Amino acid sequence: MPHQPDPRTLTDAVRAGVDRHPDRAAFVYLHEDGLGMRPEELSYADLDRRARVVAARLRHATKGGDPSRPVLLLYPPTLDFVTAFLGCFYAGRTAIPAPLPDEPGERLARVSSILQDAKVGAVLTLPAYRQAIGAWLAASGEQDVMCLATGADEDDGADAGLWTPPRVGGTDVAFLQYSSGSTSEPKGVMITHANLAANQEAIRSAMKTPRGVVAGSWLPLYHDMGLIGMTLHPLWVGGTSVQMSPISFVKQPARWLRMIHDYRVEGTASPNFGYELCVRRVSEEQSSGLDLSSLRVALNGAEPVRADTLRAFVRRFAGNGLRPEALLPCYGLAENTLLVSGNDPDAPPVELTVDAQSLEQDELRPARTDHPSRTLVGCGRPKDTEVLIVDPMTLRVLPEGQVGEIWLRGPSVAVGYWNRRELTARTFQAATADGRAGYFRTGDLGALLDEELYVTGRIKEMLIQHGRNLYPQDIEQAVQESGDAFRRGGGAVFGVTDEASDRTHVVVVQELRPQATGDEEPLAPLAASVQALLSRQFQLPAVNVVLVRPGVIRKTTSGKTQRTLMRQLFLDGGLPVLHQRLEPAVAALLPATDTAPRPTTAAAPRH
Amino acid sequence: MSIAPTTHTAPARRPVERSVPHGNAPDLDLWLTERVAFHLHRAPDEVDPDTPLADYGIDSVAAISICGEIEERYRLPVAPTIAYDFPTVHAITGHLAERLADKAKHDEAPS
Repeated sequence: MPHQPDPRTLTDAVRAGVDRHPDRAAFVYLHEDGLGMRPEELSYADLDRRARVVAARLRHATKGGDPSRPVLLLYPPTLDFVTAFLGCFYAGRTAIPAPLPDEPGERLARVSSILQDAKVGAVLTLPAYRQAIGAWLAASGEQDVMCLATGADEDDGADAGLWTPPRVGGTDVAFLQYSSGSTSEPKGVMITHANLAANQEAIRSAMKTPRGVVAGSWLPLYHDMGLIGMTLHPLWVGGTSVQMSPISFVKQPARWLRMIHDYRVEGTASPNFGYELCVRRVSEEQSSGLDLSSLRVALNGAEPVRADTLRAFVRRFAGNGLRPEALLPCYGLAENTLLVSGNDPDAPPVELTVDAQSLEQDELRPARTDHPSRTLVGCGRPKDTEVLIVDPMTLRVLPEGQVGEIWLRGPSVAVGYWNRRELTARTFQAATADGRAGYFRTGDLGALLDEELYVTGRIKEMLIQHGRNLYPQDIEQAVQESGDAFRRGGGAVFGVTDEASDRTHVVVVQELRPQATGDEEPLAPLAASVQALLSRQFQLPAVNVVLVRPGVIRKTTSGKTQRTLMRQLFLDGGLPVLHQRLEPAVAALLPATDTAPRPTTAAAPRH
Repeated sequence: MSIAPTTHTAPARRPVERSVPHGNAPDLDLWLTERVAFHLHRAPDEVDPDTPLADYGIDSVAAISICGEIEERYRLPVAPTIAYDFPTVHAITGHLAERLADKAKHDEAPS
């Protein structure tokens, strides 16, 4: 069948791949098997057949039910997740990718809240988990939600022929992406079939993805970057996706590089911390002989991209044939399906060193000699998505070089949050002061300069001091660079407000390096040096300084500093303080009355 | 067509041929203390082998990293939750010493 038109939906893309190359591997999953990695392969023909089985079974089992209720997918990291996800597409049902809540705690709480929020109609899982999930559904008061098992055990092959293609419109919701949102309650981003198609095409043109590409990653399959970028994008172009679990990667980061070598991977993706982990943990012995020259695109996104990480990674693996231009900083988020913009795959990352003081005043200006500066990394030129930089208070559209909230409009922008009309209206249907309507407010801050997008932070973490915007990560970095005693990446800066004067006070929580935590004595001058530094560099009088041991700063599993959580721990008196200097107004906010420096590692009493 | 690794035999390390360190207790203690300190960003003499790792603020990346390094060094598959199941350095090394002794017996037995 020569010259087929480009696919219109993901289902069309997969079916086209089945027609053209049924035996090509759509997926290779590297399972840990004892100490080695065992590849499991799934061809286009097998993927199609198994997805048809899932679709037929899902339709049969939920006959008479409300087909608009979404289907929750609870799988360990396996290819069964992929076949179940595609099975939902084949059945014309809305899928919800989510992690398997296989242990009590935060993950179970999150999946439980998704279950309640989404009004789920059915749950798909592996046979081994069906009983436990049935019990969980009953305990959650959702006895009417059916739990179906999929996978090899259940695959008798008889159902595949019963499948009939669904009638799917572009405006139908293909899946709900529940962003990790560790702080707020879950919000299901509604991605339509048209959104998905638009963003797949946007990724293809931005990354110049060749047909039949080989992509490979260790990202979670249920999360936007791993799902849209590393699982569905290869399918979109008839390629192959090689995967392993995040645990396999963190155990031995070299496995990621070995995967690239073994499978001649052309495209991969990771948040900044994955690249850092490779620099820190891959030994010379592990990397010797690895050939990374096949890599054309190594996306770095989902958390702030650090120029020093990019440089360190390129330096460390240049000897393995890594091309500097392969490293590709990008900006994306679930509400835009995935990609907003990315650097040109044929050019090295763009760095911009700007004057720190101007950045505080929301402007990108060239750095001045003898003045503090900040290095920003460009996230490419937006093409398919229209990007506006807007003053979040006045809603005025800002000119080039000025920092404001990033607003988006275009075919990749999701239609809203599931069952949240008010929130959807507020965030997805925003209008500028001059009447331009229909924009999504990202809550991210950034600027455009020479059409390049620079992302500078998050609005909700921003500190506003006397009308100036201060970025917590800038203060954290300045503190960490000011002395050897401070641990890099081990700081959290946030504001606390005292109701009496309605003033916001800046609090710096900073971890000390191991060798600095031994004696009590030098800690007071250290705290004083932080105050002096911030007064000099940021004109912040008398900041509050809390010095702690390494490991106290909480981070998400992807390495993001949890500033909101640290703020709460601080206010609850729950931080194990080595030494602190607090303003009286701030000390008065804490539960403990004793605010003198306490050389203790025990948490303060909570009651 | 199938996508097989193109370089099965290429310059891969051959871990099976590398000698596996002995699992005697002092050796294990010393090594694990050093690795735990590395992942928790502390000096080795700061890690007390009988203090729960949780007290040092271990996170999931550090816990899984420690698991991976044990597997790599002792050629012994261990659960990613090992640092939670055996909460101190001594608890982990005690468990490992047993497993390694079992393994040695197994390896010596004629197959």
